Amino acid sequence: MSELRLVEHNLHQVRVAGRRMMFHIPTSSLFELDAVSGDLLDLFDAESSGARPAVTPELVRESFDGRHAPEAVVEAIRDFIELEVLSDGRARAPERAPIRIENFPLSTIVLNTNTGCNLSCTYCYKEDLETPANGTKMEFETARKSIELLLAEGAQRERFNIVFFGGEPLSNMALIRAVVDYAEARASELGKKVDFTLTTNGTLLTEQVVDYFNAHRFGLTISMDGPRAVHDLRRRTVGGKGSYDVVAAKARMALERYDSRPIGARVTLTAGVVDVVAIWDHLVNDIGFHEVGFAPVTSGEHAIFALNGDELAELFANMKTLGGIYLEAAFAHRNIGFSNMHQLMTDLSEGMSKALPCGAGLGLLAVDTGGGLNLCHRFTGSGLDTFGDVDHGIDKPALGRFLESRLDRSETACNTCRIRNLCSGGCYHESYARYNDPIHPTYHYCDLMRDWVDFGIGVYTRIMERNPAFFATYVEPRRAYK
Amino acid sequence: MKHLKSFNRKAKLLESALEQGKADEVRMMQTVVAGCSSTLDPGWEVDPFGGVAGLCQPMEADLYGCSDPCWWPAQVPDTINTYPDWNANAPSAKDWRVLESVFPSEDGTV
Repeated sequence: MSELRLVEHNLHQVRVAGRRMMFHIPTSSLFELDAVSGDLLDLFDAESSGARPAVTPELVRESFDGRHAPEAVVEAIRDFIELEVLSDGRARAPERAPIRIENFPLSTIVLNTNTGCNLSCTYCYKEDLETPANGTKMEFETARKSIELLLAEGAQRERFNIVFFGGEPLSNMALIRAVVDYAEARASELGKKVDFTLTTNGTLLTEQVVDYFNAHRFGLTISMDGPRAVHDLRRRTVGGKGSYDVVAAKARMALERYDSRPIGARVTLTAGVVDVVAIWDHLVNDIGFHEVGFAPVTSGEHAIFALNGDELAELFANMKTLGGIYLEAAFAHRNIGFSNMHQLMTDLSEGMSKALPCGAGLGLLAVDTGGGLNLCHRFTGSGLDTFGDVDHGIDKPALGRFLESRLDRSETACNTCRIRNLCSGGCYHESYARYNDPIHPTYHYCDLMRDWVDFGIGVYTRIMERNPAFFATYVEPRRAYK
Repeated sequence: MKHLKSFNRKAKLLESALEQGKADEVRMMQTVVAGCSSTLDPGWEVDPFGGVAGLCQPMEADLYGCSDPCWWPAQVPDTINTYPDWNANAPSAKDWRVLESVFPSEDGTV
């Protein structure tokens, strides 16, 4: 046996209530260590001598003589070598073989129905946002070509998604109805399925509109920031008035009538607004949303509404508090509707491992009102170049180059990061807004995200310990839905 | 793997692949992309329920929380006692549209 080295960037240890968990970074596998494997890893971090770069066979023998059976130690070493947690000097394959992206099997197209919006939320990231009078609406012909592009590029798929975004999508209901008619007819000709999704500020919902969406099984998300004082802080009409009263009333109306799918609330957190527990409580328990997801506002570093470093830290601390409520409920086999936490539990229970941060540009493209193809809904009307248009198709070489540049982690801090395969550098649009470069990793979130994932490993382990059925009931069906 | 206990789904996959000498395949077959970027899942704003390119997750799971373990009285057929085949066509909620409707029989039994 030769000298053993610890491959530090392939493992991460988390201690959870007396258990020793090892997160295997290349695959996102989670293992529990026993006494033998735990003691073996401890050799690399001896209290007396600090971190040891390498361990000799003699040291292993000397340390474990009389404590562990030699066969057991050899078995554990062999497993660690197989997992590339320990290296005996032999060269191993890279974490991922180089990937070339040449095909874009679309499952989803986002249509920017109208750049106009009747609200003027002070933090809105849409670069092309207009007042309703000045908004540019998408023509049906552009939408029709978008659908044909989706069907052609995603030919091997059985199921498609069409997303309506804006501006405020409900300000172009005529287009939505025309697209639904066309897409349902086309899907039925092809023997395939089509789903519709829409995110709205809620103000234009009526009983008729809600019933129409219900009949076509729309996935609905309503943007709402919390109780009145919080919501009205920045979600305002074009004239500057708060929109809470109307949105809360309409959301309650929609939740009352809608039965084809659950409706979720989407919360944007801004300067001074970090009390996620109170916001969750209001939106789930008072308004009645099925689930609430939180995201800090996306902006340049110095925007007046951006969360500063202390606030971000406080926000994550509060997310952990709500995570604690999620954990207690999970013990009792209940799911409290905390989207971010539930997503993390899904990723950890599956062992999600991603080479790219999300499906944007690969399975999803967004069409702007002029027919240009954008990475995702956030980029329509932005300064970032488009990747082809609905008339000439996807600019595949350019889009492939873009995605491959994010795939290449060699010059980034992601290369050895322990959450590199969960985060994959983070949201392109977040980076674009922050660094004016969508390829740049979202370094401002690194420490907080690593800590959040560690928290998640703790929660996951404890739920597995006390009520593993929680995952079968609440987590696995969500994955299987795809 | 005697000294490492698999604790999530990927670990179990990897463990069985290691036994068959196919660990490299597990890595190769890893999803290139699934879900939204984890920086607080901003893509959630277009679809929290999994309809969209794997951007996010559906919470339709709740329905089965009512029907399977019967822990909450809801207007959902209970699959433990009375309608065991209710979701036979839609295991794991892959397609909600094929879920059956159920009706009491004429003599009042289920």
